[in-house]
Amino acid sequence: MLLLIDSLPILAQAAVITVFLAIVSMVMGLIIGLFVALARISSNQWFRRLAMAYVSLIRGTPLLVQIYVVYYGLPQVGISLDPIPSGILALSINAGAYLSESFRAAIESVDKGQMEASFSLGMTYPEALRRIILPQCIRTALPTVGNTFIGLLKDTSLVSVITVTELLQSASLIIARTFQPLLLYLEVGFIYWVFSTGFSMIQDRIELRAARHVRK
Amino acid sequence: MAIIEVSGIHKKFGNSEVLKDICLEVEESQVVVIMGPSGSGKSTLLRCMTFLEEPDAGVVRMDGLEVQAGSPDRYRHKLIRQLRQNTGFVFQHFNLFPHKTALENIMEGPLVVKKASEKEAKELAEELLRKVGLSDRASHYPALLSGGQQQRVAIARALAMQPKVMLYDEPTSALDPELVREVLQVMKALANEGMTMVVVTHEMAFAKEVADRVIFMDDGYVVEDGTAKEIFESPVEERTRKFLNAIAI
Repeated sequence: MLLLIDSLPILAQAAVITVFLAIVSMVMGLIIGLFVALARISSNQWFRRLAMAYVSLIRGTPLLVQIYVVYYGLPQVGISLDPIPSGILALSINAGAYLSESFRAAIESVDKGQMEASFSLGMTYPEALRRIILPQCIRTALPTVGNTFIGLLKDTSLVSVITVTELLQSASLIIARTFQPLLLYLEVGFIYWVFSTGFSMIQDRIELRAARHVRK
Repeated sequence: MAIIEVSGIHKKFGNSEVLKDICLEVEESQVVVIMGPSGSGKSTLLRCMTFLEEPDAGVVRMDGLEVQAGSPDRYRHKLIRQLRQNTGFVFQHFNLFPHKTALENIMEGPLVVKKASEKEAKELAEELLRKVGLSDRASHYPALLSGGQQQRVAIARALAMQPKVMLYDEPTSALDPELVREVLQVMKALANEGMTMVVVTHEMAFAKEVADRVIFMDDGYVVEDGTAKEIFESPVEERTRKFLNAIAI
């Protein structure tokens, strides 16, 4: 019992790294995902193919392999990144692929009359996207985007393999000293659960707020 | 001089040719009603006039601005946007922006396209809402408006760009019968102010009362073109007669 309490400050510190990794990767993943989604529905077939190849490659390979490629592979071609930037890069590229699919589905779910109405007023494609289409997508995309974030939060544990002292890694370090794996891994699991549940409660709030105009 | 000049418009969807060499001129302040069975090409023609549908061939001249059918390039896109700014378009299903209030829907065009100030756009939008009789609905979202109210907001939204011409694509066919009149009244008032209008509709009474000209289309052709009286009382073509009989029942 004492161990649980003693380890808490160290784990709390590591949890900050975990949440930081998840949030930064999410923001970058959202940007990547948006552009990939736009490329995916563009009228230029090369953009479309490139986007499809990206999504297929990322979804078809394990995140762990992607992390190894970034951290151990890229130095061979002269790109050496520290563990944390490597982790963020791999996680963002990974999340970007999944998010692009959520965005694409959301954009395609907006009635095509919305684009036509925007055009009929004389708007350009980017204006219509920014003012009319994307704001309506947010509501549709929110559930899957929220799930991606919670998945991402848990996936950050994988960057422990490249020596980032996030939650899982820091628990392993304590275990190496105390030989109490069951207790500590359960404790770490519980901390992930608290964060996941907390963020999904926030997600529910945001979804409710976003739906307020559509309710009758 | 005609304010709308459409010539040589062809349009194919796959193998079926929906518009076959359409030519049409509309004078300033004229109200033209286009009728015809479904699939006759009337909506496609209207959509081709603002390039919501790309015609395969032909020329559209709208208030002196000429756009040819052809491959998309930057210059042509710009011309098309200019043409659309001068041409209000009203859709069958209103297509209001659901995430914006009635007032914001009307402000959107002036704000984004004309770069009007928030204050200018708001004043204009308020005036237009008054014009369509919906001042008390300014802060309502579309989901809280009836179909007839939504369509009146949509008309006001189109008018906010201060167009020279208004095009209506079956503006009342998605409405419950008791809501049709309020929309037609707004349209009639606009016609009386001298707005040039092209209306695809099956509303015979509206055509008789408001239209200067009625065009009957079938199978991608303009079959008959005349005053409402001519078309309704003494149609020359057999096809026109058949259609009028069918919708009279």
